[in-house]
Amino acid sequence: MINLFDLRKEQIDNDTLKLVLDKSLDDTINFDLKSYKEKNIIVDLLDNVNVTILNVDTDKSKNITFNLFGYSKLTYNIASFSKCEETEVVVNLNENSEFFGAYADFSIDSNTYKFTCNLNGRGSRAYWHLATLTKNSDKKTFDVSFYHYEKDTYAKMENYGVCEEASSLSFLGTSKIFKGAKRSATHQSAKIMVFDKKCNAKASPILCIDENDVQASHAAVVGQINEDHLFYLVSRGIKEKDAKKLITLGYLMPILDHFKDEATSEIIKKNIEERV
Amino acid sequence: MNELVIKNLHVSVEDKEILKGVNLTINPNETLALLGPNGHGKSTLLAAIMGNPKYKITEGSITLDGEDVLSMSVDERSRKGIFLGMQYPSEVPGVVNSDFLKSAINARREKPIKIYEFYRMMESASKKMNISLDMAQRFLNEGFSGGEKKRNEILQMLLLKPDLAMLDEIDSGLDVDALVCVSEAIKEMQETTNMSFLVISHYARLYSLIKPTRVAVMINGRVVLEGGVEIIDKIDSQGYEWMKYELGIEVAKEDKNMNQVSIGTCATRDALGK
Repeated sequence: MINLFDLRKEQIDNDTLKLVLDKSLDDTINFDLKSYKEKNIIVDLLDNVNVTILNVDTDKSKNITFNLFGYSKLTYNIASFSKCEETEVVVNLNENSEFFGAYADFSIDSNTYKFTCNLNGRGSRAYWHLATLTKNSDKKTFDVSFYHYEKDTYAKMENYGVCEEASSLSFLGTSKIFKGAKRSATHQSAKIMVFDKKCNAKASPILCIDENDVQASHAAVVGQINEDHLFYLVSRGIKEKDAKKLITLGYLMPILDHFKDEATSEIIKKNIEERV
Repeated sequence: MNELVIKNLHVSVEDKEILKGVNLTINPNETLALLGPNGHGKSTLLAAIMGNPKYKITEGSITLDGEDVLSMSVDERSRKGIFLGMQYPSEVPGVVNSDFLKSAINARREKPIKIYEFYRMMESASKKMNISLDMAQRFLNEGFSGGEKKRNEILQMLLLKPDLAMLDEIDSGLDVDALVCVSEAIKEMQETTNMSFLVISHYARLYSLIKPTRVAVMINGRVVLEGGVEIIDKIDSQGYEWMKYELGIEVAKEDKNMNQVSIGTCATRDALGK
């Protein structure tokens, strides 16, 4: 696996480092944030560049900005297993560029994750899929925003969470289509499954639409395991405990479809199975 | 299984009594057709036997070979050999069909099934049900057509080999070919095993294919008539009105509650009672 640190770098100032990707790569690029002392990391994908970046166990507070130039494509896979501090990620999409973000969060401890995607270029597209598990008395907040500034832009956000014990989980989703961003579409869904009375789960979808010729939708569900689903599984002889595990795994496992690196997928799978 | 005996069964849903004293015995190796107008308790009876928590047993008993079924959990009932092919099988997103089936099979075994053995079982059952093996990799019933869901129910029956299969309108939503496929699978089980069947259907077509050995008719939450297959033909040609004249049984109309909201009022406020 290639390390992003080995690629072209430009030191902007003491706190800011810029990394430039000027060609497509088949191999996944490892984005090891521990390698950087700077607080702000900027990654530029030049025109037509197509890459996959993997970020496992971000353990330092960083601000990351991805700038995707014309027709470039970024698949950004994030996996957290240990302690995870506040992180802020901004993605700027130019004409016809595409962003695929997938975050498998099984970190322990509280954290706030802020993700903002600016669809600045006509025809740009963004997809976001999150799966997270909270336990103990952890407090986690995921604040995901899509801003459509240009015509024919598309965004889809899917946040899935499982909340156990006395933990708190909050999904804040904002989708804004500005005036003039005609024929744009934005969709978001948030689903949190709660297991204990002490859990505190919240899903807040916000749609701000300033244009008429658009498509926009949101769905938010916070609740316990669906009784009909549970009955269906136990009616086939599966014990209730195993049935609940199967349903919960089914809630979190689809995140694996978004990860390109098989070794990381295996670790995520093992982590989910052990923790659920 | 020797016999399932239901005595004086009373069942309520949301404080409304649906079953009002059902008495019925299902004998080994028989196929019992359960008929009755809509809303008279047929599906409630099957759900209560399976142990659906939405249905509250207020009185009566169900025993399977003398064992108290009502004291068993739902999964225990299944492992004891009771199977319910549902009228509206749940769609369970995220749960892969094959993982679910493997778990259900393993729940009946001491050692988990080997992948090769499972594959062979799936291949054979899928072929019988005319289902693509790819369906095993899809999420459980999610995005399945009505016919695919029903065929998947029968596929589960083939894999789990229950002693008593209760099939709730398994023929609804099936095209002609799928109906033949489902009835062939039932016939094979009838001929090669000692399984019993309790089958609900509104149509004589399914019954003509699977040939029930006995018929029971449920009206107003009770089994009011038991007899031979000639009852199916009579109901198919005359409906249920004849029961009033010949047996003195008044068939209550299906209860459809209307919202008490007038045009010109705020429906939401009225519904909330504010």
